[in-house]
Amino acid sequence: MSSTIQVDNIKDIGGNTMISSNGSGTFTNSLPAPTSGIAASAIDSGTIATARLGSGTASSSTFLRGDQTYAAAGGITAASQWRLTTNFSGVSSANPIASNWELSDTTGYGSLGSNMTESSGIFTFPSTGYWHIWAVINFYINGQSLYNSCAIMATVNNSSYANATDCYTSINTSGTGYASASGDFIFDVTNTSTHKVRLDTAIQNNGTTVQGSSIDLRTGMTFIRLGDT
Amino acid sequence: MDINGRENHIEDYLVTVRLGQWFGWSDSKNKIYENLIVYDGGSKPTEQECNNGLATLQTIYDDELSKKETDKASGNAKLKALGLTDDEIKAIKS
Repeated sequence: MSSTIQVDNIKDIGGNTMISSNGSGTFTNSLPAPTSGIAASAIDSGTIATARLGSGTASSSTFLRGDQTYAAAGGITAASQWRLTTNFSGVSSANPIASNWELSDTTGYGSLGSNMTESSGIFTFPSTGYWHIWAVINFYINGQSLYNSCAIMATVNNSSYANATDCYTSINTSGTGYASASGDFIFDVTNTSTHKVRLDTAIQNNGTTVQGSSIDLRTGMTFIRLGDT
Repeated sequence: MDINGRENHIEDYLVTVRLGQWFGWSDSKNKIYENLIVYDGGSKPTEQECNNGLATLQTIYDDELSKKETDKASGNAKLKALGLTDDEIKAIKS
């Protein structure tokens, strides 16, 4: 046995329309939205609008934090590598190594994000943040040079530079001997106009040659942005 | 220069001409004489000077190497003449 109730309007006891129909299959639901009692498992299709999940701007470079705020995505966003292209010799120091720098372009090389910029041996950061800086200098001499340094120099006022690293190596051979000195530094760059770095060297025997190459890195610096300051 | 220290490019000569970073290359991927640039306002060596300078450095290297080999052979011969065995010569060198 079957039966049918046919109406176009269902009202509550006070005469308020709860559900109505136009008679052609279109219904208007006037019931209040439920505020509880809906299981998450009941949402089993479609995509929830990002604006319903948190405040801020949702994009491919943001993520949703636990406080329901969209924030810039973490992780490394900038990295680049510079190298000296040409040898030089005959000096007891270079403060800084001022010329013949180039952005690495060895086959397979890739910068991440914005590159550092260089002018007369002074390196400028493309953005503020915590930056990891690694530097290496390769030396050779036929003979003896007891100290050969790799010094990352940093300034926070675009004027006075101080040693951030001062690492040494020594060569003492009967033929031509090679050695490299390297060091690294984490720099909190709060202002890209005032916070800069350069690479210096001090050499005991000025017959020592500092190696440069445009093919591979022999003397150079690597910059990796670790995160926001 | 090569890994043994023998000069093999005019850049090896140029670093001996003046002090510091006085020169560079307009195309660092193509370090030929025509691309040599001077930063310090000094004179630019001629191509002939560069070639001759490199050749001189190579001759010095080769002569030193040759002398070393000659001295080694001569030293060994003298030790043998003194009556040392090969094992004894080896032992005093180690």
